[in-house]
Amino acid sequence: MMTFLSDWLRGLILVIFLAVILDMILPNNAMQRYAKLVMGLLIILLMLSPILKLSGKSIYQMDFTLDSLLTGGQHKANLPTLEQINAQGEQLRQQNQGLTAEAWKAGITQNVKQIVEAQKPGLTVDRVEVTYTPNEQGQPQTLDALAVTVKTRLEAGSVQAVPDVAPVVIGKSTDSADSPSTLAQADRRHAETAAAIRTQIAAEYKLTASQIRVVWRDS
Amino acid sequence: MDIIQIAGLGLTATMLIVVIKGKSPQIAFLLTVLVGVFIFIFLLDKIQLVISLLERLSVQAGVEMIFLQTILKIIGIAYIAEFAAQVAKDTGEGSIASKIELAGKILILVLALPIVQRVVETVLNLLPN
Repeated sequence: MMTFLSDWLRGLILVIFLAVILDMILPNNAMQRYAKLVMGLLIILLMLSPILKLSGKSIYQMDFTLDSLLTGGQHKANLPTLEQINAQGEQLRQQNQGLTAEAWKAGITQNVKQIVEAQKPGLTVDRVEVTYTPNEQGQPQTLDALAVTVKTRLEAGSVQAVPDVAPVVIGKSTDSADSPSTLAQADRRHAETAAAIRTQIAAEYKLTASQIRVVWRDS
Repeated sequence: MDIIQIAGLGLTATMLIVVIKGKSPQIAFLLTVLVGVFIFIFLLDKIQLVISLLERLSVQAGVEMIFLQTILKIIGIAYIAEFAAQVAKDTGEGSIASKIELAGKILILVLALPIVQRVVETVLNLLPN
């Protein structure tokens, strides 16, 4: 409180002192009245400064330039600083990069799905993982690897028929290694299909077959 | 000693002008303007001293420069307008002199506009809505 009061008084005394000096050095003409008016206004403003302080504004932070008056009293305090604008720009740029990469990935996923479904109508692509090298702007530059997860297509609403019960043969079984051989056969079929898909996608994206991984998912 | 120099310059110029005026009033007028400008330049040093003193004082008192800037601008406008108006009056162009004075007055009032706005805003804040 005391510091505020002494600051206020000091400012007031100095401005009055300046006003007296100004009065002395002004040329003796009609100009004097106008200069006195301005000085009087300044002193009134300084006397009112405690009230300004109550509404949270300091008289020393006010903008007394004519430009701010002409632009309708938009004070500089309401405008964002350069750092804030830069930070916002950076944030927007990062968002933009993220969106670009996402759109690029979505495009590749869609394309792979079309290729696989055109080649093997019984299959569908569950998901595609895209690995890429970003350039210095964070945009995708080169495609590194693709991991395609495929599964057997299920027609909507179709019910898989329960296979007929195989005739039960009592006695010595002729093919004892029944299930392992069926499994091995299925594996081989899967592997062949995967190789075909790999070749197709590798040709499409100009990758080597080793960069593409095909994963089967049980439906 | 500066005042002796200035007074000497002024008196010498006055005598010269009195002598010349009868033969060629144009040269006399040019001499008047020249001496006026010289005296002004002499004073610039001293004005600089006064301004730096005022600035130092205001910094010591912790008062920001807005008041000082406004006051110095007023002084500058007043002196320049006065000087030009006097020169114009010397040549008998009283109407141009009064126009220059008018411009000086208006520029000083323009300086006051933002201050008037603040004062009015503050007083209006005082009143209950």
